Amino acid sequence: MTWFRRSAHPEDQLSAYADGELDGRAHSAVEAHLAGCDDCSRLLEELQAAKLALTELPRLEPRRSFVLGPEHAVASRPERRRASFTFAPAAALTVLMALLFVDAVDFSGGSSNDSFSSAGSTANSRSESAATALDSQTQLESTAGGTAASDASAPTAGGAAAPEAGGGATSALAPPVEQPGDGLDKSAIEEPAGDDGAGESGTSGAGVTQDEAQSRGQSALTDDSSDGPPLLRILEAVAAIVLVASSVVVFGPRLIRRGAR
Amino acid sequence: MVLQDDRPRRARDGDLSAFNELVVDYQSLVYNLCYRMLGQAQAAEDTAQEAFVSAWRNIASFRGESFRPWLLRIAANLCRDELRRRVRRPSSSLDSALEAGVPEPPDDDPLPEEEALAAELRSNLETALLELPLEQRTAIVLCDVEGLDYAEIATAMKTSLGTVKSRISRARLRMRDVMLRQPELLPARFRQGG
Repeated sequence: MTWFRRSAHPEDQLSAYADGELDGRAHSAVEAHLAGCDDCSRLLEELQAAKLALTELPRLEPRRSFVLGPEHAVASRPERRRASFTFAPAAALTVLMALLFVDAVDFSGGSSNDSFSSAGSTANSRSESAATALDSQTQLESTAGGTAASDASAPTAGGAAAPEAGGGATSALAPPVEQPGDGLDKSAIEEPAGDDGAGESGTSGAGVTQDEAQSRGQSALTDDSSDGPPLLRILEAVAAIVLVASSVVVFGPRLIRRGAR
Repeated sequence: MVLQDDRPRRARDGDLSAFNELVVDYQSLVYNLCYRMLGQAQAAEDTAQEAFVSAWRNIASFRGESFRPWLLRIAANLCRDELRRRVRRPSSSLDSALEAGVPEPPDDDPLPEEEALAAELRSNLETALLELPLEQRTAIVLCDVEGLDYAEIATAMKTSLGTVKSRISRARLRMRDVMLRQPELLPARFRQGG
């Protein structure tokens, strides 16, 4: 057989032509070429003969059936459930991230809110000051030297409330106050229970009172918000547990199967 | 082959009986692919069984496309794995695999000489098939033995139409060369058509 320059003859198209797999334009081009090329026409016939010979190879029947038994039904169902449950880890992760975000915003938002509502909080504290003044004083004395972190929020409120009104308004809500030796306590104790002690009371204890009022406002607010974090912590823990559990359920068997292969 | 459309969907939903109906319809197809790929009846049966088990376990990955190429892809991949295992086990020679082939199917009132020639031609073709590069063998078996079109073959082999066309072209040229080495084996219709 004489072979021709590959570029001149569509040899690589002839099998597809024989199989009817060329699109209209390519089919027409090959057909036109075949009309004028005996060698390609002969090659096409030989390729068609090879195709026919393969097609006529005996079709064999297996000696047994490959139908699956009932044990496969039990094994397969979890696949389907797991496939529909795949969203669970993603959902749990989303919820957890949202809770963490809210938690973070809550802490930062609480301090910023203080700047707006400290006056209001002190006003409120004034209204409650009479009832809580003695309590706050007691707290101030007993918790002198409390930790700075917790004290920064709540204690200041309690400390501020006492001097202002002569009775820290929200001091009852506040955990131990921060700085006993601050003079704040003293001023609180010494300050007569007054109505105007709050924001303006800074004059009597002078700057100390003002500082106390502001800090108590802050701590009051943070005290109010102190109900949030524990609940958020619980929700975060639940979301984390769901995330871990669903991940194990969804991805565990897949990893095991891959390891078995 | 025309099949009810809802059986693959029901199988994907967990209906084993629907899947087994598909097994009955396709087991010959899958077995023949495995046999033509591996050249050994026992290995073909084992691989075909494994293909159906694997298809059932991964039925959730069936996205509603044509079931036949999806199933044959699984079978072809398992055949490829088996052939690679054979390469790592040198004791499994191709010759011994061919010798373990299935018995000849009976012909309808054949002439002895014609039958002998036909048998020899088949043997040559089967040997040539097993000597093809794996990807060419897969493509030509799916096309000429199993009757898939190029689009189905592309799906089954997870490749492009152009690659399928190239592989089939090369494989068929080689098969043609095998036949031309012994033209006396070719039936008259082949010679006249050639």
